[in-house]
Amino acid sequence: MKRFLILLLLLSCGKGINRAKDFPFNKGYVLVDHNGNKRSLWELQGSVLVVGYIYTHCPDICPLITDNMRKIYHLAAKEGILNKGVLFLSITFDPKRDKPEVLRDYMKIYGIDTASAWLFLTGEEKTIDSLMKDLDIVVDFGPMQISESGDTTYFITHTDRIHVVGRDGKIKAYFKGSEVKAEEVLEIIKREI
Amino acid sequence: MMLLMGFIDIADIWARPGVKRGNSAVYMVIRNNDTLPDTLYNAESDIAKKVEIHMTMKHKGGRMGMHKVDYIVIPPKGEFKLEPGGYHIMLINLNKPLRGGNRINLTLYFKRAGKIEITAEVK
Repeated sequence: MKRFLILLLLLSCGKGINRAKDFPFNKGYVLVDHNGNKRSLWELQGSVLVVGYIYTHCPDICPLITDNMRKIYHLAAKEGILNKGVLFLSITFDPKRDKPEVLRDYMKIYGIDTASAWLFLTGEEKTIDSLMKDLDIVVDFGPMQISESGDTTYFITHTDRIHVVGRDGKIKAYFKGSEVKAEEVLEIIKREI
Repeated sequence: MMLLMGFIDIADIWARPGVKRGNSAVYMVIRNNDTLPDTLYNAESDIAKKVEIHMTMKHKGGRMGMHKVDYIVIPPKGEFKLEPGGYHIMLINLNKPLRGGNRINLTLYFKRAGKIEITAEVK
C-alpha cells in the first residue's frame, strides 16, 4: 500500500518510477572524477546511486539541482544511511569547460566535501555525449557568445533530472532535479538499500 | 535588507556562488510604489565581464534553458520577483570566484527611477 501511494504521489507530480531502464553500467563508460581519477561506471554498480546532471557555468537551474542533491545528502547522513552503500554522482554534460579542477572549485563554493560519498564526474566529450543519450538527458548547446573584450561563453538547454539507481543497476525513479523534495528521494533510497 | 530608492524598493537581494570564469545569478524583489510603471533595462557590475537580464524557461520535453530579455516592467503599485527558476540578473564570466558570504556591487538602470546601486550577498 505504501509503495502504491509513493508511486501515485510521484506520478501526480510529473515524476516517475522506471523499472525497465538500465543505468548504462555495462557499456564501458570511463569517466574522470573531480580529483582526476578515472572512474569506470561498471565499478560503481552495486551502490544505490543518486545521480544529477549539471554544468558548472549554469547559473540558475543546475545550482537548484546541486542544492537539492545536497539536501538529500544531508538528510541521508542525518538518518545514518550514507554508509550503507549510497553514492551521489553529479555528471557534467559540459566536459569541454568542466575539467576536474573546475569541478573541485564548484564543490568547494557549494560546500561539498571533496572526500565525501559524492563524486563529480566529467570525461571525454564523445563519452559524455554518448552517456547522456543513453540516459535520455537532452543537451542543446546554445550559440557561442563573444563579448567586447573577446571572451566567449555559451549556455546549454538541458533536461532537469535526478535519477535514483538501485543495486541491481536499474533506474528506479526520476525526478525534476530543480524542484524535487529531499524526502521523496530519501523514501526511494531507503527502499533500495 | 530593503533598499529604499524613491519610489523603487529593492529587497531580498542575493547571488549564487560561482567559479572563476563561470557564471552566477542575482535575485531580488523590486517593488514599485509609484502609480506609473517603471522598466529595468540594464545592469552592470565589475564582478563579471558581462551582465544581462535573463529568464529561465521550460522547453519541450521538460528541458530547461535561458534566454536574454531586454527589459523587465515593474507594474505600478506592484512588484517583480527575480527568483530561482525565473528571471535573474546574469553575471557572465566572473572575474573571481563567488563564495558564500561574499558581497558584490551592482548598478541597475531604470527608465524612470534612473541608476540604483545595490549590494548582493552570495548565498
